[in-house]
Amino acid sequence: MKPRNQSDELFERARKVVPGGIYGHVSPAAGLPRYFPHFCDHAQGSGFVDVDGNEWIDFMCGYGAILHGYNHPEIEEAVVLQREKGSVFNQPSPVMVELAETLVGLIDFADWAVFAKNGSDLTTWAIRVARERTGRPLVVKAKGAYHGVDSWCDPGHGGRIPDDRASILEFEWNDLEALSVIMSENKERIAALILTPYHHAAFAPSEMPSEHFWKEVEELCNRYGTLLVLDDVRCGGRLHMGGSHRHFGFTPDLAVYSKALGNGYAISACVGKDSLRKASMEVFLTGSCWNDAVSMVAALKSLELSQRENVAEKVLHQGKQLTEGLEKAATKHGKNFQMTGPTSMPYPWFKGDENLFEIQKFCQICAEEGIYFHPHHNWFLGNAHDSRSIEHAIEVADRAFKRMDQDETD
Amino acid sequence: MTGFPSERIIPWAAARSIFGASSVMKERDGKSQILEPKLLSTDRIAIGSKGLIFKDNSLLQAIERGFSMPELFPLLTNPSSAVKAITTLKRMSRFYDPRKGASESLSVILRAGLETLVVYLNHHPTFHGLFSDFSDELITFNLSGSGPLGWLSRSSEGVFKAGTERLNGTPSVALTFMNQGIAFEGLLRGIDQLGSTASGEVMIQGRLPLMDKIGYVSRIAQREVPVPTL
Repeated sequence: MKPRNQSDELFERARKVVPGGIYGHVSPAAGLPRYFPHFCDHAQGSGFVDVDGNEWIDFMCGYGAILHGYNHPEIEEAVVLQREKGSVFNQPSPVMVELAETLVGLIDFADWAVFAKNGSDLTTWAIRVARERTGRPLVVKAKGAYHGVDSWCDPGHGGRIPDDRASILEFEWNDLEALSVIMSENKERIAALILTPYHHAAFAPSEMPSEHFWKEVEELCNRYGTLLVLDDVRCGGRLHMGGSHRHFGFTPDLAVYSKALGNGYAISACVGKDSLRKASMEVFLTGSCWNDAVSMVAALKSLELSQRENVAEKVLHQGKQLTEGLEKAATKHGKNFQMTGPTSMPYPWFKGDENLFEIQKFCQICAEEGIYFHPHHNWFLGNAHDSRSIEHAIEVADRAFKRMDQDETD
Repeated sequence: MTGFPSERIIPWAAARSIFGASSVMKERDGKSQILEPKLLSTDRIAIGSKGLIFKDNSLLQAIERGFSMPELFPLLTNPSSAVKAITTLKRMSRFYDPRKGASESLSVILRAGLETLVVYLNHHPTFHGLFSDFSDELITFNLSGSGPLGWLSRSSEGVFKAGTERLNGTPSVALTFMNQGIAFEGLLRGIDQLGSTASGEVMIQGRLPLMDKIGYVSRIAQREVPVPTL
């Protein structure tokens, strides 16, 4: 086991002043609490150092927020320059216009853009825009899909009243027949269908869209006058430079981005078609620091890097090296192991391991050698992962697959 | 699972917790009465085979305050059975004393808590559909170094059951208390669902989303259903 005194001490301090110590998706309870560190000290490129000085090769990239690597010099330089001018003012900085122009130029269907801080801010806003535009109350989503922390969609249980979900209908991902029934039974009542580009639920293998999924989704939306909202918060930047809809070949009416957009600086964006411009102006949108110029500069620089270095293709390629290497190593040790989902955001799955014991064991062993593989969430590749770090991770995984067998026979 | 009168869930859960605790006491000492409760047609619950019948509110009061008046007629017609039941109830309350936190106590209070939880899981309208993603499941509760303390199971028909006898089979998810003191504290006052695994007080392995949901229901049950005071 790695040393973890500082992590544990900090956690005990946190527990006294923060309910649960650490909460949300980064809560230790959601991962491997005694194998992963609780606190990070600093990070560079594809690695981070925890508060006990342990070095890790990271395959979570700040749960997707880091696309170009931690502490990227060009992004940090741009951030420092903006910070000298200031961050939040009475008025937006000119960089807001520049960022909106960049997004409208990059995303083929986008005619406008607005900004906030987190994915949830804008997934919730987007469905309200759809309601305003259509005058309809209902929203359809895929069961188990994560769209944020608001009560219409959060994965928790507490603080909810039945009304919170009274206007939300669900279908199983890829079950087009069920979706079609929902749409036809509620025609002229469904404002929006909100979907992620593929189904990336936690604690379960990722599901790619079936062959005709997106084409039929578009047809259903057109037939019933329902707006298609793409929640590209998690995937944005890792599948296609121009938005994940391009990777799968469809066109939404609205799309929401966050995570990788600012390479670790808090920003989210919603883009939409011109037909939704007026409706968007009717739905109030603001936040204390939402005009933060620093994060907007980070997003601009991040988008520039993504274009210049063709990052979406690069991370898909790097991910292919990782996923193929891991699957090959698993096969060598007789493990029925598969990396599901796109290669830039793979989710590991041992066949028949619905109760997750095997993946937990595998990730524990890898953690002992400093590889940060999460057992319950899709991983993230970033532009800072190089062949060397990936090769090293595969070597560690190879030993882990072998050790799993040894531990079973011991 | 539907149709259970919602206003009777708390007293029924309390009555089932008495059953759970008395079952383990009987297993261990061989002399305690198993106080199987019966839900009577109006707001009354029979505790044990005969002699002890409480109104719903009186039962909760009896657990919470250590005394409450049962119905007189059954008590007077079956005095010996009623006294035995009351003796078992009195002995039961001692297991909730943290100063006596032996592993025997842990099994008693765990089983009592699990029986309470089972009532909520099977009958509480708020939790209908919460477990629709799950099928045949086994959740085990263990004490590090000593092994299993008890279990909760869900059948493919969605019926929950609890027990303390040893079971074969692989659990869907397993919760292990790192020592007796932590177990006692967790069972009596609840587990910090975010902090306890991070600090190493509790280890959860396996299907976390199932334990997450079980934990949520158990915290509500723990908040609402009284446990014996000393």
